[in-house]
Amino acid sequence: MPITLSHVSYTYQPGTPYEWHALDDVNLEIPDGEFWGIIGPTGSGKSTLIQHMNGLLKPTQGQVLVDGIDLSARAANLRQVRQKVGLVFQYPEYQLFGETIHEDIAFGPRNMKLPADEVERRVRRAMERVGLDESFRDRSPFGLSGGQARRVALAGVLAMEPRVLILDEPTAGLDPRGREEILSLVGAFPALGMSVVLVSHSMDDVALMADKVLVMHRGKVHMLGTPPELFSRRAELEAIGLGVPAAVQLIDMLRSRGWELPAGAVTIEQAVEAIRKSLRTKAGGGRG
Amino acid sequence: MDESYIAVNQVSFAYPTADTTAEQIRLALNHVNLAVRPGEFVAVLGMNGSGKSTLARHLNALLLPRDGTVLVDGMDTREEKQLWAIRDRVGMVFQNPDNQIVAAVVEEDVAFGPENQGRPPEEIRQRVAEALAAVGMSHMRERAPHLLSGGQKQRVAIAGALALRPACLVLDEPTAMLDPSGRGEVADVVHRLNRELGMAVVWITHFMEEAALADRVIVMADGQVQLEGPPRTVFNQADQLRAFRLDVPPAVSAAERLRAEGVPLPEGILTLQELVEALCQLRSAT
Repeated sequence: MPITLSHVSYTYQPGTPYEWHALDDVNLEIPDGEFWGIIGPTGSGKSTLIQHMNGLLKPTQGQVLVDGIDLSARAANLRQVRQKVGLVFQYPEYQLFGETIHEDIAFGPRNMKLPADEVERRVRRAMERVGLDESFRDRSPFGLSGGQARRVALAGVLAMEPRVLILDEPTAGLDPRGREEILSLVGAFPALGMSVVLVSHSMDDVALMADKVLVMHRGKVHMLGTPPELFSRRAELEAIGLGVPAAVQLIDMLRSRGWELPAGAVTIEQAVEAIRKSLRTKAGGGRG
Repeated sequence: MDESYIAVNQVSFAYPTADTTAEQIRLALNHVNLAVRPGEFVAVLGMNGSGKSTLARHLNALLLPRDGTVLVDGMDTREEKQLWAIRDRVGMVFQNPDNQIVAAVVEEDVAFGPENQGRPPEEIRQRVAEALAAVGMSHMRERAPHLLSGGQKQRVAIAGALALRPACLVLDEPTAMLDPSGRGEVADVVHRLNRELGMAVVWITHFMEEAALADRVIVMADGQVQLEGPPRTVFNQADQLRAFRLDVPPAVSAAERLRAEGVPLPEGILTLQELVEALCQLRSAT
């Protein structure tokens, strides 16, 4: 279910002194089953952009197509689109409200007027996918740990069985293990046929997870490419207040000390592999 | 008296629960001891729910111990008449800058504290100017806070705390909601305050690379201090940290993996710079 944006612009409070062009002629296509990362400084248009992907905002100009449906068309069935494109906001656990975890997760599918047994099946499956066992079912969603509460919120969106999942900073405020848990959950979704769009401030997370990275700056698509392509353009990223993953910093530092290392390592694992190979080559074929 | 500016002695604390029949009350803090020396930079790590924020709130009497004592500059936080003297000495900055800014203009926001203390206008102006200069925000003093970036807002929040001229700043995950440049801005400002003004800092974070820059790292779990020491010592205990749902900074992790691959790196590598030096030495030795 591809998402296509053509010439999309969005202006907050047009015609007032507070007029703000949050998106400016954005063109992109997110194909099926891909994992996209979106990065950009605060105020670059990331949040505005993702709200266009499920019709929460309608473009001031241009067109958004989701699975061929034009979201700005008057007759567009936004309800249906929002079931297909799930959006998980920042700190989603603040939006939990059910008396039990089961109730909270069942809210979406019930709203879709699905039969009771289908609702049940979906709740179970969603809980399974986020790694919450049966014992959580009847507990209150309040008083869970940060990571658990966030998984409940994620399960609530998954229970709608969306085909695209968009997450805005899903790991903010979590401890390192919590971050890892959420990322590995989300990383498994493309293999289940779901596309994932991850908005993140963490270059390391994006380097680890994404097939493609989109860099937003001043409402425009500033850069787009695979993590190795993108993170090889360090100066351009730093010029807009972003950075590169620790692995890229390490490789750059070694290169400036005369090491010959291939480009393209963006995770610590890849950097370690490149360093090990280089050391071995030196030792085996060295000057002697 | 020892040389500590803040002394936490055997402090326990539990949040009130609706369920009064609960057999055992879960202690958010369980006999915690901690000393913060004047001018020291202490980082506090710990998983969600480990008691970090609860501890932070004890340091300026936002919470009072159920057992044990907290002394700030010799004053017991449970003595109500000392409350304002304590809060003048220990400033707090929280995670979300939007929840901490009260005024519609930056300099008015920073003036809020000293105004509340009833200080004369001339002195307030002086303090606000100093505080804004200290965080590098003087040029934005007439701006509306809601139009600032996250990093700038957080610097305004820090200036608000500085206007009371505290001897210690406590920051509870001040960078969690910021983009990379905002994180850098805030960390730079706080390290400069620590270095140049000798301000003691208690910095709570989930970012290991931020903790690596502290003088001392405290690891909390289950309401107790589990590990404590200089970053090099604490981050050398990777397995234990992982057991507490934490991690190690990237350079430590890379060095660990390289050692596992048989690369004979020395122990105790903490920063990327140190890792690069060690690797270059190895390379020239082969």
